[in-house]
Amino acid sequence: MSVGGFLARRFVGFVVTLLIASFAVFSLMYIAPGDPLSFVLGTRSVSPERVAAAKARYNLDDPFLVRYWDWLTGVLHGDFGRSIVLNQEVSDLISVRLQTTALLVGYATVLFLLVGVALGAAAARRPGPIDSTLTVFATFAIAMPTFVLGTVLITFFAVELGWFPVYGAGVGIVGRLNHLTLPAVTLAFASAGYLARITRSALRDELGREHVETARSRGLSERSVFRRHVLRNALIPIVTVTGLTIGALIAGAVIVETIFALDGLGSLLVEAILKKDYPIVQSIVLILVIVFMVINFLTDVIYTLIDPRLDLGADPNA
Amino acid sequence: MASTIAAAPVRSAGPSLRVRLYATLGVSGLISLVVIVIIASAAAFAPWVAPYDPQTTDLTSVFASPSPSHPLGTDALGRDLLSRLIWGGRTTFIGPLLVIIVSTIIGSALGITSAWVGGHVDNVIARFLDVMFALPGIVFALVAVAIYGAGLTAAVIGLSISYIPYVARVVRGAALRERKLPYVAACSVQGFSALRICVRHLLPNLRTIITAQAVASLGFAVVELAGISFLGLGVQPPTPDWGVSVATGLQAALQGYPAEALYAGTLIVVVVVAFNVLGDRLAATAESAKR
Amino acid sequence: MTLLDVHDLCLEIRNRVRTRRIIDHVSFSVAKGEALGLVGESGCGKSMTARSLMGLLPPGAKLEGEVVFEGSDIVRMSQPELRAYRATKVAMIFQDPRAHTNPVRSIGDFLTEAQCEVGGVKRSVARRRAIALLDSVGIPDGERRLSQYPHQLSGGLLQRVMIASALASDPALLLADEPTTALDVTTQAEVMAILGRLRREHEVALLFITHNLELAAATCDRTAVMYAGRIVEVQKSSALHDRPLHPYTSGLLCSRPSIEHTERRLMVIPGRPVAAYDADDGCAFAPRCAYAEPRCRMERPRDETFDKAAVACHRAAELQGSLPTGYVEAVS
Repeated sequence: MSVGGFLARRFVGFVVTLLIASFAVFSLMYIAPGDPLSFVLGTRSVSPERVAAAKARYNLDDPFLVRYWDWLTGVLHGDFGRSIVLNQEVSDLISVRLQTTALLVGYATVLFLLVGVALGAAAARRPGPIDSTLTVFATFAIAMPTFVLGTVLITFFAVELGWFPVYGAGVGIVGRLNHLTLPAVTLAFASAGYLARITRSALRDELGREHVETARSRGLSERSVFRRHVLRNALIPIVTVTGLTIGALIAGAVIVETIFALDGLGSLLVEAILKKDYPIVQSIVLILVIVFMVINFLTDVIYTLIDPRLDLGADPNA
Repeated sequence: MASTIAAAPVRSAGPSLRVRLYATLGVSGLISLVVIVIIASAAAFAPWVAPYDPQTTDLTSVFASPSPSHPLGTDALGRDLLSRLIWGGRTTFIGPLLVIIVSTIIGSALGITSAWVGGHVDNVIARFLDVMFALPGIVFALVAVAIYGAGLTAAVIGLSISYIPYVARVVRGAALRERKLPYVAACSVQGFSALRICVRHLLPNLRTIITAQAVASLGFAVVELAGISFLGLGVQPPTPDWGVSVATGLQAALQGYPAEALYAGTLIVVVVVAFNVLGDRLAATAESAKR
Repeated sequence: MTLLDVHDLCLEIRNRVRTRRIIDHVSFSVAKGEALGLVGESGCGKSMTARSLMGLLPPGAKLEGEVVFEGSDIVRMSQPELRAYRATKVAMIFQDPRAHTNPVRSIGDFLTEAQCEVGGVKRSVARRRAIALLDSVGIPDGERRLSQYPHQLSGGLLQRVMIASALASDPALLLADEPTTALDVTTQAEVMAILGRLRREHEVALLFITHNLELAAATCDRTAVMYAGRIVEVQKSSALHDRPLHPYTSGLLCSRPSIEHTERRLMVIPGRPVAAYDADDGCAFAPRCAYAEPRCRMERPRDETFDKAAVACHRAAELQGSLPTGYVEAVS
């Protein structure tokens, strides 16, 4: 099967799954309050004008599937509904917050990739005390819950030592990065440990393979050998893990944003849940689900493409 | 489990219980087990172990330093920290326990069914699980809380659902391997129904793997549930719970009193590491037993 | 003209717990264009000997002695010198081609890598050379093969690619570590034929490692027999076959089943082969030798030279010519 055919086939499967997931997200939100009117207006009492406006906008008497379709097309046009609690368009609220979350997750991704691979590579190439120390550190890092670490970091670095600001998102590029450093470190910590462990074992495995000996016997320098035969081969498991870990980062952002009082999507979601602001909850959950699925899809595709031993035509679920 | 450890060596022939435990768990596993048992027992016997009622406030001694009357000090409302931590262990353990039990039962059922029936059913279940794998557990918990309101019940429901695919995948793999073994064919030939074979013959042989997976997951469940409580969406204050304690402790820490947050946080990390180590050891034993 | 002169080679491997001797004072030489067979059972150190000639040793290995190649001593070379030596003068063919090729890199990459990375040759030039090399080992549609991956080729084909890759640098010496052991018999014959032809065409010297005495005798000018990290006998292959000088060689020859005679019980050499680090004092083979005398267990035999042959046995002079070479002789 050609690369193009493979990509097309996988993409179609991906879109189908996405549709099913969106339907699930849409329907789940209606279970709680029970009727669509309460969903839109929340549980508090509202003026008759608001009720009329809501009814006009959402066609609440239509059958369920029609409402799903309306909602789906609306979303694709950028209309995520309106938050009654905050009296704002959900899309406005989201676009403002999206930036902070994206910056936070991006920052954390860079951190965990750099640190994880560097530590893993160091441990793999120098067995002995360096290796043991790094392994212990990685085990410890993986077990550390994000909210505990965040609390510890804030206590020591922000409150006690005053090296970093405690709250808020800051202004300007430098300011924002400064404010986002502690949160990004908190977020990246466990993932860096995990990636270090995976990198180390993948590199170790490859270093012991016979084809590395062949490369050496042809006169290649150690660096060339490491780059072309050890690292290249170890990339396969590393890339797979990275994809999944980024998903975990996004999930962790919810907690980190709450601890550091950042105005991101995660903290908005938590607030909306507590205030029973369903349109916001539904929209953010939909966005999260889409993002996770895209990441999964991309990881799957990349993984299949970079390993020539995998047959492009094969069924992934076989 | 606590009572088994405390009992005298078994009278039967063969290695004593202590020797068998050591062989299965190793030093690290044994230490982890002991740690977990101690903490769990303290939580279970909280009414007798804790010096104070965790809800009793005493506004005259707020944020007190450790003293003979309050070994770990007090919190923002003058409540004894030690008692709150001991009582807090209850929700911190019970929630995850429920999550693991529910997800293990449903996940195992799905895994065995998938492995046994195969074909289209297996395919559909596999796809369904794939979608669930893509989403981190916290998303399920958040959705559940959004539907049912903040509280331990909703969080437990959401988290249980999110753990099902992990159990199902492990069980399915193991069941597929077991299924190929001769004793299963022998049972079929004798006319046993599929259900009977699965429940009375297949399941007991999968016991070790299921247990190893469950124990390891227990650690993660503790963290995730504590995290949800930390956000205010799980166990609600003023119920003492380690996750809640970290949250209230954080507020205190920002005022310069990090004690509560650090104690609760340390306990969580200790418990998680203990469960991870225990789960690893059990999995390693299951691996070597297979060969 | 001597190409390679190995003198008193010793190899020890050190790990955290112990030090093990693998090669024990080995000496031999290879002339330009000559094929020398190195025969022995598993664990005798023959593979490590080949690797020592290239400096391809695991960490913790200590090499002593002299390995003189075209005037330079390999043992004392610096890393850059060693790499240059590997890239231009000597090449190795390994036992399991599938394990020794990188599964995620193409055949073309495998063949051009050394030329481009080390030799600085342009990719297009290297590719053309690769196609020519593939042709010379009997793989005609080189263009197509270059973009294939190792898992798409059979073992025999892959071994030919390995040979082509070894010859890409035009080496003066080829080290072949049991190149056909992993292949079936017909493929074995094909690969050996290709090796033989190429060797003659390019005038390459060959060190051929195998546990198959017949194969060595059929393809090599001279054959050396190794036991417990030591060389016990070196002779012209035909002479080794007809008149072995060492009891061990005789034992190996006699253990072969014969297609002409019916045997109730196959002859075996009593005992088990021993590695260098487990050998007792004196002659390593003495415990299993039918001709052993007391002095064999006390004193290690020194190499004695008879015409073009060398043997390490105290009783070589008196035994020569009388050692059996097959079952019938042995029992009569």
